[in-house]
Amino acid sequence: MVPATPRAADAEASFDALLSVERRRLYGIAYSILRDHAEAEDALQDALLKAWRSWGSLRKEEARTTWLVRICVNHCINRRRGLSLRRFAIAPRREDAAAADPRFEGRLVDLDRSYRRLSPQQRAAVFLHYHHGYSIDECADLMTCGAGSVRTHLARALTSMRKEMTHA
Amino acid sequence: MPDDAMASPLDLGDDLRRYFAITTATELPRRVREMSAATLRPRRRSYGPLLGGGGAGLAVAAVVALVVVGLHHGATGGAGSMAASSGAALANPRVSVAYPGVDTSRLARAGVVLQPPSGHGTARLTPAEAQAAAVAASADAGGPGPAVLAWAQLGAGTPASTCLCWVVEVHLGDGTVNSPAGPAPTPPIHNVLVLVDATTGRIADTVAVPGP
Repeated sequence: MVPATPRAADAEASFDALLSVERRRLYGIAYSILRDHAEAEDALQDALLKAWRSWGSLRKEEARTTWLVRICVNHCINRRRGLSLRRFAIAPRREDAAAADPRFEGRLVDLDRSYRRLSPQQRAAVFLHYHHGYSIDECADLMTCGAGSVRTHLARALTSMRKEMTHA
Repeated sequence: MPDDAMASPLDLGDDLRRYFAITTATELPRRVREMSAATLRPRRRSYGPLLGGGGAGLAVAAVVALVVVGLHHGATGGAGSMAASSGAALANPRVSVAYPGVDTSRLARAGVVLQPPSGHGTARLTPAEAQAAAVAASADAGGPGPAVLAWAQLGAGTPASTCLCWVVEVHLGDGTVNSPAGPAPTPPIHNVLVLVDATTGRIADTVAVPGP
């Protein structure tokens, strides 16, 4: 099967090329939704595997980045939902939880605590909108939902965080 | 609603940007740095035929059977069953005891590894006594969950402390847990796993399980 080899090699090369550019962004998305490095690694591995399986059938090369980010976002949201549903998100031990991340100071300590209480969709919306600067419509596209849902996620997330930070 | 409709006197935009700049500025884990089409493919090849051939159900059934057998043998403490279970545990030290609704891998990351109890002695406490001890150790506790006997490795220290424990989930009303060091305020934790030493009845450890 001589023709298959260069095509497979091309697919591998193009996949790896995109991954090398987007690796940090994808991991950042996974971590920001899951807030657990081990979970984020597993989620990214699974999301990339899903993407690689369909890589050959993807026609629009220019849409590959968006497509890859979309897979990652939705896989992480679903994974986090599964964790919550099965109630197996073991919190850090209390002594660990009490020690604030030394990189945070002032308001960021409260912000960190309030962010961790957001739903996975809210985390995704907040991270994509505020960190990556995606518009509401772009967030909706990446999260595979309507723009109205993204606005709702953002509004509720901000309300929740403001409330918590005001009371802190 | 336009994007700027979310602005308020307590505008979090700048804080969020600073916050994410910090949280995403970490070095990528080695496994992530090494991810590529080549490292993804072997996993696809190995799992594909198994899942496609309906082997997933068999694999799940085998794992469930292993856990059930381990629990049953541990609770009864029979000599034959002890040998069988501890043999399986020795052959595969990653064999873990399940607690309903709790993922043992996440539990392990919190520093607690539950393994089959066979070969580690006999529980002096009954399950009911362990449940009572777990409830007594938790302020404003609701009803306890089932008591599951396990050989627990506690903490990430070297060597990790171990004990034969009854594992009991307890629902909390006010998010406060009594530890040997005294009551401590916590974030809103609604459930905890209490590990009760099956020999002495002391509380060996308490692990928080956040509510849904």
